[in-house]
Amino acid sequence: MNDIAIHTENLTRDFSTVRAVDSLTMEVPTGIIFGFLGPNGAGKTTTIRLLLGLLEPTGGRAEVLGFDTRTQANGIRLRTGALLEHPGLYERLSAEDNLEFYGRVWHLPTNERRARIKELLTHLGLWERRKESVRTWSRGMKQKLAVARTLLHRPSLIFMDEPTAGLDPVAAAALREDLLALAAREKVTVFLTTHNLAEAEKLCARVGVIRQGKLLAVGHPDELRARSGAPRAEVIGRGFDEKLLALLRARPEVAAADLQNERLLIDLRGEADVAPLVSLMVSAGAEVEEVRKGKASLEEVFLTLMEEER
Amino acid sequence: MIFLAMLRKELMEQWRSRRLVVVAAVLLFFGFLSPLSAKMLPDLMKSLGGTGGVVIEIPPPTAQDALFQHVKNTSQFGVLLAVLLAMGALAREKERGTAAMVLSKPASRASFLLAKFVALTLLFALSLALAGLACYYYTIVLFKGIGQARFVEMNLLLALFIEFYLAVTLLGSTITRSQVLAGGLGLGAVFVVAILGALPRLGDYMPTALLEWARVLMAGTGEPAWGAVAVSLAGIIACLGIALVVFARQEL
Repeated sequence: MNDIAIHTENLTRDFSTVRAVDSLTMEVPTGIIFGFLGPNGAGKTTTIRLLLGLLEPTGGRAEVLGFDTRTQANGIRLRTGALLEHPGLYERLSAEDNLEFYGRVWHLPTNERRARIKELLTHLGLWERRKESVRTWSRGMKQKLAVARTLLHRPSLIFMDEPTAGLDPVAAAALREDLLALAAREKVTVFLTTHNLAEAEKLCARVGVIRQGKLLAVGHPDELRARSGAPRAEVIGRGFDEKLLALLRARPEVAAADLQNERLLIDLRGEADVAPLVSLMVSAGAEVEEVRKGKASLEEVFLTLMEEER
Repeated sequence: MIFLAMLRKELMEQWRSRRLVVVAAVLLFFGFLSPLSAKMLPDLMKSLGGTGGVVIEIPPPTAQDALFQHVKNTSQFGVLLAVLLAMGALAREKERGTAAMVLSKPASRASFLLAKFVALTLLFALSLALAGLACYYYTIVLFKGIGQARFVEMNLLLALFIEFYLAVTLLGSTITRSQVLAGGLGLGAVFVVAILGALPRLGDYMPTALLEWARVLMAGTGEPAWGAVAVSLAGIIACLGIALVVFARQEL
């Protein structure tokens, strides 16, 4: 089995004067959930369409599961599943009819098709409602059905374009859990685009950050957090003033200290200890109630990257 | 076979969306109504009362009158229904993202498009057959026996006429992403063909000449419009061919 599910080299796509994807070079290893993060209009959906061979690249090339997207798109489509920005369900048909149709398109033998439909709908809690017309369903249920359709033919790679967009938090959390469970059980590689960073942090073993078609960073969320800087301490309490901030900034282990909504945020250099700083604050007359030390969240990394690019 | 899977889905959608029932019901209604209205017309005129001293002589209705009505009603409403149904065939799927979803699988675009055309053709074939049977039955009940072979030929000409507009509108639905625009193209074709059909000589080759042939067929007069048959068939093939080429290159 190939260790690399997706490989792109200077992949570029223009829409008239707009460059939607700009010299994208990256690799996605097999068997992981890869998060492709970026703001709206960053080029995430265009990248998926390029990788599926639905769009022709303006320049560069891409291979998916070892197949060239320009010349072997059918090979890619046979082995991948896709959940694009719309659920893409036939609303007049029932859930079962929708999956029957897609199963036939994939040439799944009758018995296998029926067993697989039952397996997926049961797992997603939709089996009892399989005969209902899809148009009467909630958006969350439709999205679950779209996930079932994506996995129907046991693909080795699935593309998911913002699968939880537009769902309420409960439905989004349920779908995330289903996705995680299904991806682990089916051992598929998942290429997930999202602008929900908490979602990416929970699901993804590796993430890529894209903005205006350019890949800004790629790596494990922890790596990105580490790359964005040293640990940070957040101190909650009272009596933080400019004099204290000046004292802290003068310390060699402190890179920056700022007050935000009565919380003191201290960027540390290296793996510095927080205890001496707490002593300093107390001796300066501040009251410390709580100290949290940690790395920047993926959201902070993301915002930093966006800021740097500007 | 992917084509059959797509055709099955199209037919299922026609059934679930009640499109099949609506088209069949409308054409069946006119199938019944045409002979009936031809038969009742003189009585209706009489029942309207005085005409201010003007005497209008209405000849006794015949089976031909019933069939003329059938050709007129079915062609008008059939074309309208054809445009309404075909305008969304592809444009709607592109709008809703289902086309991209299906075609992100190993499904050929030609199968996708042709399945739609065949499904629409079957829908109208069935509806026209039902309407034709109704018209045939009422005509022989209310008037007298009519030539079966000629009646079938007349209905085939009607079917070809409607099929032409189906193909034109499907092409419109392929070119554009908007159902309204596709419908506009279909209706535009109806008007253009009607205008060209009214021109001497050129009119003999337009699909509108099919209706004239259908009318005179039952009367046993007039000349066959083989030129119009050829042009209509060529038009259907050309529309489908262009639609296939355009759709194959279209980015979804």
